[in-house]
Amino acid sequence: MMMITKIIVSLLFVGQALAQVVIDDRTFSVPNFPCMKCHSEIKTSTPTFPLPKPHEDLKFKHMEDVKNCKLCHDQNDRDKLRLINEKKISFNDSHLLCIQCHGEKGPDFRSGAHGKQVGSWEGVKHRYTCVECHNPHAPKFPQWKADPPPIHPNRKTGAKH
Amino acid sequence: MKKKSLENRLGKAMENSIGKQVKRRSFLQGLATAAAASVIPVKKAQAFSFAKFFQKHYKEMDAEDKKSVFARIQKEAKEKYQRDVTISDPEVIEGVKFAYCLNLSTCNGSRKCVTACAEENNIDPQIGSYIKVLEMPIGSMNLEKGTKYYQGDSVPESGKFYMPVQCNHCDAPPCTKVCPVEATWKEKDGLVVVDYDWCIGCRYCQAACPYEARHFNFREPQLDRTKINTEQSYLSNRVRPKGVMEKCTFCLHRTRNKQYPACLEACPTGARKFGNILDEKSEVYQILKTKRVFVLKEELNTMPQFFYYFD
Repeated sequence: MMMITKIIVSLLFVGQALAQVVIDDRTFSVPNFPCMKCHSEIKTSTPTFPLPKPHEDLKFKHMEDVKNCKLCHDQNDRDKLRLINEKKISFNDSHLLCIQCHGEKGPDFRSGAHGKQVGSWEGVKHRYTCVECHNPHAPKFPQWKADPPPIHPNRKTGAKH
Repeated sequence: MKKKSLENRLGKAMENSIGKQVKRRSFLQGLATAAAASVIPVKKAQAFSFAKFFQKHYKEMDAEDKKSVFARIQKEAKEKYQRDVTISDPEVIEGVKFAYCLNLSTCNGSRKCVTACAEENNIDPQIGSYIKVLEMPIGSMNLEKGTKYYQGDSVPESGKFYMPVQCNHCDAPPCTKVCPVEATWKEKDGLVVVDYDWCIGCRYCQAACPYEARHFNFREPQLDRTKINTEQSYLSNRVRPKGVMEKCTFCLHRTRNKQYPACLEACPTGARKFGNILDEKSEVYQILKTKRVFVLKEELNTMPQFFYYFD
């Protein structure tokens, strides 16, 4: 099935290079996927807030509290996202949707300057998409507790250095 | 004739000191027992290993030497920590020069890299980590205004930015120049490494490094034996002995096997970028090409290979 396959975003110079960037399938990490499980029957076009279960926890802090689902989600095929040019894309390609507005991040994302990549620096690079770090409904990065600080040499005496 | 007179003189000297006539035979016997006595306690205490003392410099070792040295280190680790470690020695990859880039716009100071580094490299808690994250006031690039002891209850704090500092793997490293025994040097792929068994612990390199990237083992490392990383390499993360210098090696045991360093994998914001600067398709090449990067203490002409940028 499609969920198992990995999507190869770019195979740079297929002949020579081993380096390739893949975006791992992330539909399994989308809550309640596949959406059409329920939405093949539920077809509300204008949402009412607060949203019914299981979407009641969604917070909207994106682009001045935008609450227009259809801006990104496809109205009929809920398992897909929709670009402004009405092209349907998979949840794995959500970065294409983001860079419609955040265009300046596009080249950085493609070159690897912005965003996280793990794996091998000369083999297969697993690239994280935008939404793995930024919640699409409230994209501002949250604040956390940092790991513990190093031990201060004068901690016991309390003296200042 | 000459030999005889020397013995006479030595005999005289001993007579004077112990007030008893010493014959040649008893004198030589005394010497032999003294020599034997000096060897025996050493063997018992195991504080001193002949194999280690007469070990060659890393660069002069051949494959045979390396094999026996790695076997000795593995045996020592087994005795001390009851863990089966593997000591490897990944080779320099031709046509590769490592560089690091760090995006200060996205770093949120959560110290995940600091923790990952300590775990990966078997670092003694007293040293802590090879990475220190400086919390700096926005609008200043003065490192003296930064602190690494911030509590970080909710990072990033407003009005602050975070600057992780570690070994810059300089192209003109001041630390290797001052080493009196050449126990530290720059490898062909750009990594500055230390031969822990050759280091005499004089700490000149610590004084010479302008980035505080070198750390000294004041004590025998006190590690949780269950948490020891057993994938070790001779030049990087094997457990260091007491009294030697250690430093960041860009996780040599990972990066020479084409993996990313541990700090990069742990970074929750993707601020860290690593790769081969000679490869046009690598992230670091693209960042240096398209971003305005800067290095720390550029005026010192150390030519760091650790670049910072904002985006």
